[in-house]
Amino acid sequence: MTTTGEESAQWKTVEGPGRSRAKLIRALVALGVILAALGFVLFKGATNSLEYFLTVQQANAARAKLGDTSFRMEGVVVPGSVDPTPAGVDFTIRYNHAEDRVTEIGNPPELFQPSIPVVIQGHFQGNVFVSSLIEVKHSSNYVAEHPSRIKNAGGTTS
Amino acid sequence: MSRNAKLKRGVGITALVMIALTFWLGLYVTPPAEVMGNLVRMLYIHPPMAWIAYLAYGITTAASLLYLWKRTRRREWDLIAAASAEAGVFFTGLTILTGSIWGRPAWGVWWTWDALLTSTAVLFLLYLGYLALRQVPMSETKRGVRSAIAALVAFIDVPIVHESVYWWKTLHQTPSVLNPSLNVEVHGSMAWTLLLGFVAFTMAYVWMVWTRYETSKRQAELADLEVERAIRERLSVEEVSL
Amino acid sequence: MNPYVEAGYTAVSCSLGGYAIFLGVRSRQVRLRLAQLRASAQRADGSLEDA
Repeated sequence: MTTTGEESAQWKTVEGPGRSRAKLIRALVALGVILAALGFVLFKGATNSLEYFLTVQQANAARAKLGDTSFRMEGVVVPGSVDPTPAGVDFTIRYNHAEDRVTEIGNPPELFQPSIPVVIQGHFQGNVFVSSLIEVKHSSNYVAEHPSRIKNAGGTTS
Repeated sequence: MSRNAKLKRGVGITALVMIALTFWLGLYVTPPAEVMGNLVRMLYIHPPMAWIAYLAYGITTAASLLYLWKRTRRREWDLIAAASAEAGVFFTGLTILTGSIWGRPAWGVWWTWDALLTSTAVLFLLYLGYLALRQVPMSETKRGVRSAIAALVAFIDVPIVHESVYWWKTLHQTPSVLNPSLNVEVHGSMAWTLLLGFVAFTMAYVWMVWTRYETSKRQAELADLEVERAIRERLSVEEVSL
Repeated sequence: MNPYVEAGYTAVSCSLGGYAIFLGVRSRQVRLRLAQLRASAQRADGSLEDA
């Protein structure tokens, strides 16, 4: 049987072994990249998220053991304790009656304010927790803001 | 236009209108919230994305089970599982993206390795892997069975993602709607807008899966036809040369 | 409006729109190709019967 070039050009090519091998390699490379990414994410998760933070209480109890290692600590910003500094902000953090003084180096996030729960990242230096990152831990409750209520609370309606 | 096509177009248009309405309510009508201020507007887009990702993976799992069970094994289940997983990956990606955009101003960070965020990243990669596995050349049944098993394995991560905020200490707050007591912690017009967002994006999901499923079904048919055509052409050429 | 909120809504609109267009275009391409192939298959059947 002989075929002219014209005839074979009209033939519909059904996926041959060559094309399917290229497809196989592409798919395996994609799978490999995804598996590597999965490994990285699981590693980061295992080293960070299983014990994402200690509460102020837990941190104070484990103070000697913690030394100057870096960790995350959760608590609420004590109202009236916030002092802006040239480097960032100083404040007191509280959790169930346990308190620590914090020196934050860097800009606090937009929602940082008194009475808000925060997770801070840093280490103890003497009696002060030196923080390099404040994360605001907001609640899952959403209520419309009432400008008048805030004014009334301070008793300064004019 | 067939009845199916008309119905699908209807779903698409409804989704579009409802999304536009959600955006309008979310951006202009609902009030700013206490503490969050205007950032609360992210609430109307971020949780719906996560909900649809769960829904999509649920459908993928159900369709995969139906495919694995020999009595209900049909090509259609495999294609629905794939179409829904693709939408799931799309919405998981959007969950991470909108979460990140919300996290930067609200928490102060784009990303953090807490249990919820980490398990969501794992979820994204698992289903991306599922889609990559489907690209590996193999026979249709083999692919169907293998990817169905992969889908079942990947689904284990869905409850982990949802429960992570209770099982571990996380930066992310607990769910405002899908919490154990189903106590909606969103108030007034904000709650209605969020609800509308859930429905609107679910409609968009339905349209996506429907379109994707139809296309892959046609592609499968196309592949069958092309083989037939190649055989026919081959035969006719041989006839001529004889 | 807050720039992050704007960015979030823009990201969602563009992604949804982009994916929908991609799905629509591919659906159309496959539909047309299938119609073409079916027609040629019918023609081939017809010519075989004629012969």
